[in-house]
Amino acid sequence: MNPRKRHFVITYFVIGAFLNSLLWANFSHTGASNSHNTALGTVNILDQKFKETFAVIHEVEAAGAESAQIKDFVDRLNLALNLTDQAEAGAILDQIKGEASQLHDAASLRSYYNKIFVFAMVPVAALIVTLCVHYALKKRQSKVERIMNLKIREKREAQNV
Amino acid sequence: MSEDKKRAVIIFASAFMIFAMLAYVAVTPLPKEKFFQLYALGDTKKAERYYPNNNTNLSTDTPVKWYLGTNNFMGSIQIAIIRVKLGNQTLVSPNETQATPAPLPILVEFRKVLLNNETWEFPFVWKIANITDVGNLAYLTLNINGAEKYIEEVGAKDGYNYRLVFELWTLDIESNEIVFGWKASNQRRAAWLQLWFNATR
Repeated sequence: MNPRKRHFVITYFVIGAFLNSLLWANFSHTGASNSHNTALGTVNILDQKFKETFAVIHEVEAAGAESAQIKDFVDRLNLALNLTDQAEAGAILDQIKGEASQLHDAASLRSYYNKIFVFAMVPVAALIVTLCVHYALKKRQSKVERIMNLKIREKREAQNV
Repeated sequence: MSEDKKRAVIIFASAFMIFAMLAYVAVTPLPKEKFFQLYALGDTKKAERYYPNNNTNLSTDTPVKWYLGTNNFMGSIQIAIIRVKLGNQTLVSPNETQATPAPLPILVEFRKVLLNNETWEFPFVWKIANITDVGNLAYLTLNINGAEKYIEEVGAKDGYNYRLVFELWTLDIESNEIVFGWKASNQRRAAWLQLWFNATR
């Protein structure tokens, strides 16, 4: 391997390792916060169901769901909380839980893709900046060279006289 | 490698590092202090005029209107429960340091799921419906938001130095239990209020 290729490979691995460490640090943090939400105790049926539903919405929020969707869930959760008819409240909680579980996967995926997109834009932005700076410097250099290459000539009018 | 190429590589590497840092900051949420606020206001929604004519000596059937409120700054949705308790001068108050609630009878509790940064404020209207004397102790029947309750556990000598205690409870997701206060940075915090009054005839 020639020195130029070796240099390129080393640079590639250093940058790759740096990117991976950033991604790992970020996703491991998300994983830890999600695992907090899984431990559940035992209380009466509606309370337990309510707590489970609340925990699911909490996870959906942590996964990066939109605030309008979370507000909708919270409004319905409060509706269930104030109902005296336990069967009706239970039905609402079941419905919220089902919808929230579906939304959780979509929100997780979307926030994952958002992160990937943001990190993927890093080399693109760096390349754009490099090209801009490179050509700006080159233009400046050529201007300086043009000035340096100027030659002194006599004016034509002076020649005619 | 020519000077131009060397310079381009250095610029690219520098720009890459800067943009990578910016991207990391952009996708990582900033750590914020997590807390609740609990407050009680008078009938003008200000921290004044808690009692009619600013007189803490309340006779039976004198309505008192307060506004109770709480703010959720926990960074996520939370269940807030405000428990209203009746105490006297001698019974123990809640302990903020150890996050232990007051061992007082619960008169009523209000529950709501709050969004992050949401404020929940509601009227709390109450009056002394009846005063029952047992020896030199007075026992109260309170009417809170239209519902009456006789509190046999708490009496006060000649009806003096009663207090309504408001405690904020939340659902702790880790333990799946309703707890007094809340947990932030692995520490338990608590918020409570009390308002004193005398029961007179």
